Amino acid sequence: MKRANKAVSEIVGTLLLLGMSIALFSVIYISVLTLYPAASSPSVNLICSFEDNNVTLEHRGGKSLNLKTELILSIDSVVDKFVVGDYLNIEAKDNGLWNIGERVIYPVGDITDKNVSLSVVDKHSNSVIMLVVFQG
Amino acid sequence: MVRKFIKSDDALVGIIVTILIIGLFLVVTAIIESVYVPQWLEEKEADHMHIVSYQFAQLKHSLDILSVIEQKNAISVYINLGTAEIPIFGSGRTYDYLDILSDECVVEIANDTDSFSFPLGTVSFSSKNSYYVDQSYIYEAGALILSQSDANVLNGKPLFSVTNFTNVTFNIINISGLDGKKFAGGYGTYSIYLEYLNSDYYSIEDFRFINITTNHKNAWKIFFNSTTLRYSALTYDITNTASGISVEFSGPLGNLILKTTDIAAQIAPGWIE
Repeated sequence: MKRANKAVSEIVGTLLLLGMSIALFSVIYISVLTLYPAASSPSVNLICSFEDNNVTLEHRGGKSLNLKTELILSIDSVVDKFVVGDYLNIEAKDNGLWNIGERVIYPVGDITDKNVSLSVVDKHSNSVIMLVVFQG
Repeated sequence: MVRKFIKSDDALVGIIVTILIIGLFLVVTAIIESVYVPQWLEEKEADHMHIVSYQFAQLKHSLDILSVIEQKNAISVYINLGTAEIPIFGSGRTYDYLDILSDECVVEIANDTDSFSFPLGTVSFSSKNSYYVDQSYIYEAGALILSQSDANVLNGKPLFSVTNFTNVTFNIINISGLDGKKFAGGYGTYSIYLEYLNSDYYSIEDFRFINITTNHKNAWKIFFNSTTLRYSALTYDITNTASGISVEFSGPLGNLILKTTDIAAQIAPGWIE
């Protein structure tokens, strides 16, 4: 019995070390497995122009964007928020995406001498993919 | 024997920790390969498409200059094909294609009595991306077109102007390739050697139709709907045909001066006389 008691602390020590190692690695494993990067900002070319009292935003190649892509238009500090799907024509909305060559045409009226800014926000990556500031 | 085996239990924690470390390394590697690498590659391919866009703008600029100066000159333009693999992981190399295509686009001008048809050669780049959307850049009849997923847009207008409200000058460029030098595919930087050959002028009175046979109808529609014609005194309708678009002019008809420029082009090193 005495001989057997001598190993108790070694066994307990080993068990404690094992427990600590497994606990520590469990934390690291969980941290690593949940370490997925945030969705990156989509690579897309957009061109903004102002013509006939409309702000026109055209998709000029790159990744297709969701119809829920948000547009934030500010005219002399008056802010208006809308989504791409609201101002694309029906034909363009058929496939549920904003594709190359398709235009968002938003009527703004006369903006002469007004400060205008337009931001395009991709909801999926939660990033601003375009910011335009111009003088009307 | 049994005692010796029990003694070796001393390293149990070390062995398990080693296994856990190896497992952790494998998990991290797998996550990088499956999540981060595709993102890096997509961004790399998108960057490459931006470079090609710039290089095709240079190609159009060079061809326009050669056409305008009308002198025996030659210019080389460089196009990057494919993207390199990313270090360590060694994946992601892509291969693109560059073609000089004969008679790919036809410009036809017609009035009530005559019709003039001009088949034109084009330069075309096609990407074969692994993650980013595939794109093609096409130079045809002086226009620079970006094509993607069965849709296309105009990136550069052809040389076209309206004078006296109704008179039109249209400069179209024919690219002719030589056998064996019309195609390049793979990875690397390839040159397109351009040499001016000659120009011809045609005067067409009271022109009624400009018909374009093309695979890129939308780009040409964008061009004919652009301000150049919209603010002239010409009235016109654009209709789709089976093989392209037709622009029919009505009301006051003008005169059209058509300039055709022939330019010889070769892809890949070495100039064949």
